Amino acid sequence: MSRESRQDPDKLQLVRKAQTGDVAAYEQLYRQHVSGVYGLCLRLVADPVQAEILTQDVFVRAWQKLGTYQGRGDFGGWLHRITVNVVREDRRREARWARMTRSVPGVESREGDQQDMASQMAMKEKYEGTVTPPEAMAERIDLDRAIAALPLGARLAFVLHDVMGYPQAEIASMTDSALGTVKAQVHRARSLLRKALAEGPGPEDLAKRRKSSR
Amino acid sequence: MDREQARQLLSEYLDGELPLDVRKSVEDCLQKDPLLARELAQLQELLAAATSLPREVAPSRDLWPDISARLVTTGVAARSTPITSRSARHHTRLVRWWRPALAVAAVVTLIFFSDRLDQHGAATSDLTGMPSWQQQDLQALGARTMLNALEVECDTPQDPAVAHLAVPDRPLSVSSRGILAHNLRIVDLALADVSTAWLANPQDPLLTSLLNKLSRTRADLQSRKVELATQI
Repeated sequence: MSRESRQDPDKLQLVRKAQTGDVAAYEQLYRQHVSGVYGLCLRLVADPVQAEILTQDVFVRAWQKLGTYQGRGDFGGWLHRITVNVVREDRRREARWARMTRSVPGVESREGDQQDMASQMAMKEKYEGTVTPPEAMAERIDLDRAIAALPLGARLAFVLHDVMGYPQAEIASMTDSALGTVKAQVHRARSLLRKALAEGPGPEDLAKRRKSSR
Repeated sequence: MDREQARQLLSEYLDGELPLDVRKSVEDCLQKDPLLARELAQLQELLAAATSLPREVAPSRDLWPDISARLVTTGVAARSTPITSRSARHHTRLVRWWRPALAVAAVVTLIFFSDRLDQHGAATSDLTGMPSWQQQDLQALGARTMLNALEVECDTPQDPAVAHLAVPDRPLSVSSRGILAHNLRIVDLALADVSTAWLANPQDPLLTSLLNKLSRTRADLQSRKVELATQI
């Protein structure tokens, strides 16, 4: 489950060009890495619209910090590290906002409902366009939902380790955590997901879902 | 080793990280305990499903136009020389000092624009005929201009964003999701600081009123974001 960490010389050349302010070179880097960054954002926030916004934030932040990239590790990994930070900041902001809307008199919290609605619609459209068999699709949506319901630390550890294939030591470095913490978070996430999926929809729900997806 | 101890080690067992003797003990437990064996099978299924999830997913649209627009407004990228620890400390001190100032500036600007709209109405405003979400976008953009002006003093020596936003004839793509998202971030920053102040002094009517105004602005921007998402 290890990731390729060797740096492609052509890519390094592009990075060097972008570091001098070459936007065209940076666009090429964007084209090469956008699917990886968006994929990670989507797994972490489970909201296609929010994932697009965060992907934009990641590439803007990466542009601002490009000068600090020394070319030692994989550029994709460097982008993923930025992605993790951007997503964590965003989640913290959302949590603060949620606390505020609960405590301030007269403030209506419409965001949750609307985001859920937008997320479900976008997710539906995304999956409707695929040729995945209905059963596998239903399982994937269940897994996506279950991952999205995990606490942030466990979600990060699970997605980075079990979905993206990063070694735990690298995740510890990416998230500025101790290796033991990452191991504990991976264990916690797997345990919660196993329970959630084992106690998932019963046979009637699955049959209904299969019928509606035909 | 009892069931609970073995259960705690299943994750590491799957990753092949257990020493040989512990691994053997876990395997003994698995052979004796069908419930534990079932849990292991469920974990294996879970990991197989997780591995099969696509690592790369293409977004539903090209994000580059929005990103490149923001690269221009954010200014040049890369710092060619690393920040020294001394300048970093200096930078941190300045930012800490200016944060409340930035929040207040954003709030004042937002209130200025919204009061102007409230008092004079759309007929006398420059924003005549615009739907309310566009007016809110422009209000937040006004806050950004103010924030950038302050950032120039406390952070980077030259921020092209100020000059860029100040040009009156600049075509303003208020419907862009990138700008919308950016404005949301600005309002969030102001909200974060004002909310901290409010939590310390929840009885203050002025802070409550500021918070309400900011919250409404954020809710409108958010609803526009959802509206855009459903249009695409």
